Amino acid sequence: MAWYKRIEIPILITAICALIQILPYYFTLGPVAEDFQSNFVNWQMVVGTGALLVGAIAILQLHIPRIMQRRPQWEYSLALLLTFIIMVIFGLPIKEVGLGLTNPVFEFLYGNILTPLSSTMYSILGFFIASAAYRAFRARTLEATVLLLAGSLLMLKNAPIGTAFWPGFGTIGDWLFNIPNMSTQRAIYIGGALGAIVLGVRTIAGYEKGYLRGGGE
Amino acid sequence: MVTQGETLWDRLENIDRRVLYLLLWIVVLSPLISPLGLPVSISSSTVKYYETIENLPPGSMVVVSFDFGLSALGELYPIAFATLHHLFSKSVKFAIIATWNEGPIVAKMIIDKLKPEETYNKVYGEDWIFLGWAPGGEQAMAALGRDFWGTITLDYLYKKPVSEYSIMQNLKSAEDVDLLISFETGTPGADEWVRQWWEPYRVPMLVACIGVMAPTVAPYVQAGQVLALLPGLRAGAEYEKLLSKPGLATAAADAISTSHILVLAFVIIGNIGYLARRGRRK
Repeated sequence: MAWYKRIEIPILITAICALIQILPYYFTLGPVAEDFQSNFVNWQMVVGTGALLVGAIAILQLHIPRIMQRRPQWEYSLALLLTFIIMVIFGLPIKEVGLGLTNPVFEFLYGNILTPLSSTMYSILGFFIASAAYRAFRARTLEATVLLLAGSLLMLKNAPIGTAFWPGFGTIGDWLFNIPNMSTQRAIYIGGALGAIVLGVRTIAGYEKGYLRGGGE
Repeated sequence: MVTQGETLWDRLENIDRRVLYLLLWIVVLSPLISPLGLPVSISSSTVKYYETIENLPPGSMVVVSFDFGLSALGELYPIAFATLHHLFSKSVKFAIIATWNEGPIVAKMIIDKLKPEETYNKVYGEDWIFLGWAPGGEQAMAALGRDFWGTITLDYLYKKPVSEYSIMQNLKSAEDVDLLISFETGTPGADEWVRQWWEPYRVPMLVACIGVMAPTVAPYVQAGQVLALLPGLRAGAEYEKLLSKPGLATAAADAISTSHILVLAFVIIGNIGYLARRGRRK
């Protein structure tokens, strides 16, 4: 195998990039190292922005064949592509010909189609949560009963009518929020952070290869 | 739909979800059309949020970050609107940024409504500036902390170099920032700001988030890394009350009450059905 195809190369690049970020955080390595770290952060932003283009190409690759071959629900793909192309054209940052984020067509589409659609999609969650609460909050076991009571008390704390009816709902809700919730959240955060450290060390050391060729050799 | 052999308890336990959806729609819509005017008590966290902005010394530098997209408009738009109104009413300077790509669009919607020059006599580039989206998520936050000018080179509204604006002469890194306000719905958001701005620079921070995010941000408040948290629409209504400027959150406060009560009523009905059926079986 050619040397540049060896798996050690990307592992080495990953390790170097990670160390460039980590070492200046813990040690004072001087302005050269800090500049290098800063540049790496800027590169990451550029690469991240470039990934948008990859995403756009992937959308085209997925939906164009679906339309051409009239696969099931190809009409949705057509609607997606049309709106995608229209938004891209009117949103292109070419001020000289009136295009860009302040273009009236772009603003109209954003304000009158995308905004209400996005808000509606999010609002629908309220209906699902209401239905889920009705079905899931059943006093089947002791644990489920505790969950039911805690959920109900927090709802009464969050609804203005609850605290207006009895301020004690606020006190109880605050206690639930600040004590049991907080301790659990902390445990999740600390557990997650320890896991991230382990994953980082394993990645730098080359043991973690999940991001390379699906982990295979 | 009632099937043969189904008892009242079974029916209570299995109410058609469409009935619940319809009732929920009615109880949310009704108070929006005809407000009930239910009282809203103000929590200590909202008071802290308000007082932190209210007590900023004149000339303080604030960074306001729109870390959310259009989907969270319902909950965060009223809070962001009230916060920007509060900031424009004060003698502080502030920069608007976004770490979510839809953030600048939301911010512009608010700016267009507030009309800072006409309403508050604030000069763009001198009292406030709109820097737009900094792509890269957490990396962008880190880069902004180190170097504002190098990370966002042009402003969002006029596409001029940020170095040409007088306000930016006093805003070069996170060390120049007296307060950071983040409106957030997820990642990147408070977690990342704490890591990139509080930990290395100790920038005081306020966070307004959607209701479901509140439990995840709360540990930072208790640890003192976030000064105050404004979670969801109810907190928005409290903040509007403190500002004496009723807005969308105040209008929605009644709908929060009615919808929560409906859900609670259904939970109780479902449990009555369940417990009665279990008792009969025994």
